[in-house]
Amino acid sequence: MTSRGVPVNGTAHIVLPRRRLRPVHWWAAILAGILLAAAAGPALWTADPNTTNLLNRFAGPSPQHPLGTDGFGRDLLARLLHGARLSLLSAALVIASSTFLGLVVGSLAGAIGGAIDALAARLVDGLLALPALVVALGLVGVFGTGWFTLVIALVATGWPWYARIYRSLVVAERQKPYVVAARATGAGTLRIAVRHLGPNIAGPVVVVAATDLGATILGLAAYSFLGLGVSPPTPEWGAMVAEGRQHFQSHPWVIVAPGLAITITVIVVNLFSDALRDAVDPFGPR
Amino acid sequence: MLRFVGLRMLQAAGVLLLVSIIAFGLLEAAPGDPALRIAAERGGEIVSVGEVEAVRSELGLDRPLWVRYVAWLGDTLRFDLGTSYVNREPVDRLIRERFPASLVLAAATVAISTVLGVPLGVLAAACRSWFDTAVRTLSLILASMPSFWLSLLAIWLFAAELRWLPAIADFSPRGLILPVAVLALRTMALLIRVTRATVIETLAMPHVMVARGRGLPERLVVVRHAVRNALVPVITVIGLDFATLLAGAAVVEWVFSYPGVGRMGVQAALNGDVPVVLGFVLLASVGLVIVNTFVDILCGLLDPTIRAGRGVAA
Repeated sequence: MTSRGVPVNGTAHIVLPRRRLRPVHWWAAILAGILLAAAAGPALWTADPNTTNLLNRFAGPSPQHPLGTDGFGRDLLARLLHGARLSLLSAALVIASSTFLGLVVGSLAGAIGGAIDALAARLVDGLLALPALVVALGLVGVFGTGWFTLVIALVATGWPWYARIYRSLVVAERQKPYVVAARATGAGTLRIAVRHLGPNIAGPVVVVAATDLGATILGLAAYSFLGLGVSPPTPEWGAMVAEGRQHFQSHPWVIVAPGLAITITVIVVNLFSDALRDAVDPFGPR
Repeated sequence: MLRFVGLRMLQAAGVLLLVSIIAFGLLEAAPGDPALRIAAERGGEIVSVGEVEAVRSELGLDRPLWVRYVAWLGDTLRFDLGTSYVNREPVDRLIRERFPASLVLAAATVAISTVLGVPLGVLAAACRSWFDTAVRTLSLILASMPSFWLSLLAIWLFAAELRWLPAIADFSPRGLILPVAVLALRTMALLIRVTRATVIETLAMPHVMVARGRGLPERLVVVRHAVRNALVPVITVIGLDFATLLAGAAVVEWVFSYPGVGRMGVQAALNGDVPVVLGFVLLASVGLVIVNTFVDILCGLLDPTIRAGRGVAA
């Protein structure tokens, strides 16, 4: 809300407070590293994740295969990197779609008010009272397994949570003086929503999305593990654990590696979202 | 109080209505023509259009949507959930056979994670020292591990390497140990987080400051004044855990081949066995609604401010 002091014509001498590095910056940097590995990794480590070599099954680390190979002789590092790309992209897609749906429904309900708002709020409360993961399983079971159905199912069961939060945000925000002032200057609803309300709720929106990211990654991995998501041989972290299941008693590494990738990513994501919430929360860290 | 209970019941009825509409909608939207399928089952591979139409009118599939909904609702309320596409068994019997196993799994998990998680959360909130850091780190790591992965690691260590416990968990005390342990670790992690956060919040409240000002020892301040007020959110989370575990333990049941409803649901989803999937969704949703309503009424009994006003909106 506050505009940062910028020197005008170079005359004004404004000393910006020195910005201390806070936990949120560290975790954001590590998360950015993971995202970079997922984005650029497959281009840098060009081994094909689906080339099988049955003469070289369960190989140990070597220059050709830094993390060894799996039960089909496929390069584990390449599969992990491609899996990272798929897992993180899917999670981002689920969260972006849920955020969009939640924002549309939540802010429309909050802005219109009256009977429509009450009805929407009841509906959202009702949907939130359902077991989301089981309903998602039901959607996949009825409409058939596959990556696309899975993403749709997670969005369909995830958006009410966003809608509830955004509705309360919009309702709280539209009472505030700056909205009233904007309206008094003759700004229309759309202009107020985009120019005034939007920037002010952007912080909480990002926090909400970040909070849900870890759970979404875990959910996607779990469904892929069960075989309800991507079909083999697509490299996906959860599916990789499922593939390694047959031989994991003799070669635990093939499931330890993708599992560690999920765990570490989710830990970093959770720490980042906690730190982000603390950084945005005016009452400071708890 | 009576008004509060009545309102809460009414709300639950509304959610159940929504559940029934969603389940029926899914049944209607399911790909494939049920009349065609049943006609094919009766008359072999090749069926005429007339045969399909005969089955359609026999099953009442040509009637208007709302008539079919009412008929379906009547069947569902009598626990007639149809028969499995795969093995032709009635869905309600499949569920009845597996429900006790899931109930025991959920109850044992919730009991253990409550006994461990709530005290750990309270202690972490009360002594904000290395202990708090350790508990927080532990709960973060446990909450970030995929449960299917933790299950496989447990099987690898305790069943394959040490040979202490069976890798395939049957419905017996010995078989229950590993799945309960995996689920309890995860549930405990979430419970620690909630308990710790609520107790810290309560410890910052004025009445706690008064209690400290009266010179009460810190132990009594925490136990009598902070924990008691932190109970409501904690009980809500425990109830929620129990209800979601009833069917949500699907992944862990799947890994351990545990004979519960969750594994049945996953298997049905993989097979596209629509009646069983919908039976599973109905069971999980109704269970969650019932437990939630019960927990809310319990919280209303414990905390008068809830039944005064907030409970109606929540």
